[in-house]
Amino acid sequence: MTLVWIAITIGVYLISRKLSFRWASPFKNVVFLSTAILIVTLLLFGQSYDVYEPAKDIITILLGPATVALGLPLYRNLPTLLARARRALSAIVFGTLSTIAIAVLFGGVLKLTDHVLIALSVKSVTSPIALELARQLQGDAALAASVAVACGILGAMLGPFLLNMFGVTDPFTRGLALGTISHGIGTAQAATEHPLSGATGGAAMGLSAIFTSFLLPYLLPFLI
Amino acid sequence: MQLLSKWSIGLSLLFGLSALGNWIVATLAWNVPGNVIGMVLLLVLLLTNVIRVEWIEDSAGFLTKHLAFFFIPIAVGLMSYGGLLKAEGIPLFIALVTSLAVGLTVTALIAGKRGDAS
Repeated sequence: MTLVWIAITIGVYLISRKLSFRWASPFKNVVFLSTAILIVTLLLFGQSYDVYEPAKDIITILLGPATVALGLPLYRNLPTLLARARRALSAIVFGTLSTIAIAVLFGGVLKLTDHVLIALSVKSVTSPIALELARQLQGDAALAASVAVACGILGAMLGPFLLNMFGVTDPFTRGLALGTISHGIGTAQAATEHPLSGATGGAAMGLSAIFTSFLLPYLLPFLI
Repeated sequence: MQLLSKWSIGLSLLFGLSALGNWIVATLAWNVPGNVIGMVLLLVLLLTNVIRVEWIEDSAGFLTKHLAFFFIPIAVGLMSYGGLLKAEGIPLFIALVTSLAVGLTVTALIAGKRGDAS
């Protein structure tokens, strides 16, 4: 059954990918489409997530190497990045800081529970890292991974529209912004716009993840 | 045949670096996730020519191209949070969207809307 679910996931992904090239809508995001289709399918067959979980465990074995693989675009675009290093770095640092601070402070005002607040604080790093960070921060790791994914999907859906609204046309900046706020899913979205955006997205998600991992254990006590 | 060996070398390197990163973090009790260390290790090894781009470009290119795929099964996990979403979904959504918009604006403004001279 696990193999069947893996096959279904691959099939749904490939169909969503085809569809996403055709439409122009925030809902065209591949992760959003695939996830929605899979959840509806599970619910239609009256299944809970437990049935699907073994398939997840197998597919996510590759998430570690896939994260490491981002070292390659980082290497390839190092000259471009270094040429605008100071701006790019401060953009990533302040972008990361502001999105974490706003999320946790806003979440606190809206009376979210501590587990959700910890999950919010790690939302802008890629989910395997969010999972580890949340564990280190004594939060709910599975919840943190899910909130990070939700954040990634929302950012990948809304980000390009917000950037258009603000008149941000530079592919360097678009990738940087999407990678900073929405990690891998934002980077995947950025890569569909422009190769340079994919590269700066990868660099941004990597750097913001390093920055967040180092800083958050010290920063979080001040925010919660 | 050559393609196959390229893929096995590439994937083994990426798996190895991921494992090495996790081991370093566990041994030194660092507050940094292992995969990030693996990524930095890969960058350093590429810069020092210990690992050649040709060895990993196919596998790394494939994994990063389909990065979105690996997030789907985790995202499906959102379905087990139906209860939480009913209770805290709306404030969570507001906090997420607001923080996304602010973070995006701050990043874009500092990095430059149209790029400086480039």
